[in-house]
Amino acid sequence: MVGYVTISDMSFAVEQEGFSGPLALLLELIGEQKLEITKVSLAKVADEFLKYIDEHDVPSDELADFLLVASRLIYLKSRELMPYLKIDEEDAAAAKLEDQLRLYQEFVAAAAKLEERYLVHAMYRRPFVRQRSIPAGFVPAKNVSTASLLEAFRVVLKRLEPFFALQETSMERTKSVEERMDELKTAIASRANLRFRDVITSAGSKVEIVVSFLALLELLRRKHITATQEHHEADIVLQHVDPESV
Amino acid sequence: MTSLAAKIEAVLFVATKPMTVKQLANVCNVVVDDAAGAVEEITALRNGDSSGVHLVEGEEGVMLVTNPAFAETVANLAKEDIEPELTRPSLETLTIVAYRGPITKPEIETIRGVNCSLILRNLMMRGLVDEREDVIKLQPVYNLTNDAMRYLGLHTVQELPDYAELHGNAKIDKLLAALASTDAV
Repeated sequence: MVGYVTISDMSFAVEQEGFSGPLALLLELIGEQKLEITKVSLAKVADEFLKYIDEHDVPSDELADFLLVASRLIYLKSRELMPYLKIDEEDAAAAKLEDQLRLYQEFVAAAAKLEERYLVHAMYRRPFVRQRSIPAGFVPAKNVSTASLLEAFRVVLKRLEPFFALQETSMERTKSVEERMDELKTAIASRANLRFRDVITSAGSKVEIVVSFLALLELLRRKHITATQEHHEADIVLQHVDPESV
Repeated sequence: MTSLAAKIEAVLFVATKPMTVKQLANVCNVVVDDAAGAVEEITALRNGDSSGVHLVEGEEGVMLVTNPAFAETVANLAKEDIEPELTRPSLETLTIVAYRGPITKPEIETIRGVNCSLILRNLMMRGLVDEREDVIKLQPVYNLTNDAMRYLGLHTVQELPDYAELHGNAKIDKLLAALASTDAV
């Protein structure tokens, strides 16, 4: 448990300085065990990484970044345990974590060299101040025109495009879970029972299968439906619960 | 020193901010190439032990500064309000901007693996990093200010240790591009 003690020591320093992000934590964990940066060593420190997130208040604006790294570590670890498990997209992302960490390490080394130089041989300039009082009043810059304002606004809109796109997709997804719930509820209510298999086959895409499954779980939780299975590998039968009979 | 170089040196002496080569050319009524040549001439003449004044050339332009060897002597007189404290995240971000600038925020965040908005804003407020709009990428890019270069005793960013290794490295470019594409998924 030596490693654990050092991490909590480090967290004290980190709290004083502000977080350095998930990659800094990973480098620290791997460095403590005197390991090289490889997929194997990354998988080894996965537990300690998760433990750290669990026990420390990671700032909310950095939490997503920590969780992204955590998910890749968990994937690497699960690959160690189940080598036959392989998800192509995940595999590529996890492999890149190794490269990313090496790149980060290079810049950490460069930062140390930069720090040695900082304010050691500073060069001074004449103070760039010129006292010139500007008369109070409306003094628009020469390049302000209706055309330049329009252009500036267009640039702002253009830059916001990715955010608009992002919002639309996430809203669509929430809506479709709700929609699917209503659909399934009506479908189950309109007939005596419905097989789970029918729900899955009626879904168009992989995403829709997931959405249907989530919708079913939610309906079960709200006790709008019941699910029964005769025996293992038998069809799961979904039944409508009559609210008056409850 | 040629008369154009001398003239440009005089302009830099009274300038109230770093001057780009283009601005210098305008002020002196010469073509940009001539102004660039003159700046090179001043650099060769001044940036050595025997001159009290050196030239710094960065993204913001050219400016006159004191010889870094005299830092201690000049520091008391210059009385600049420099906060020497840089946190580890700030220092890392500054390093990435120094070596890879002009660089976009997503690229910085790819290298550090974490959101850098606050740190960048802080570095900008302290006048160490500068933001400008990149016409092609249609998003802001960040680079070191001339003031940051002065604090680091750099006449140009190329003087950074292992600059070529970290700046023009094709492997890093490739990795950044690959990482950017995975993060977009």
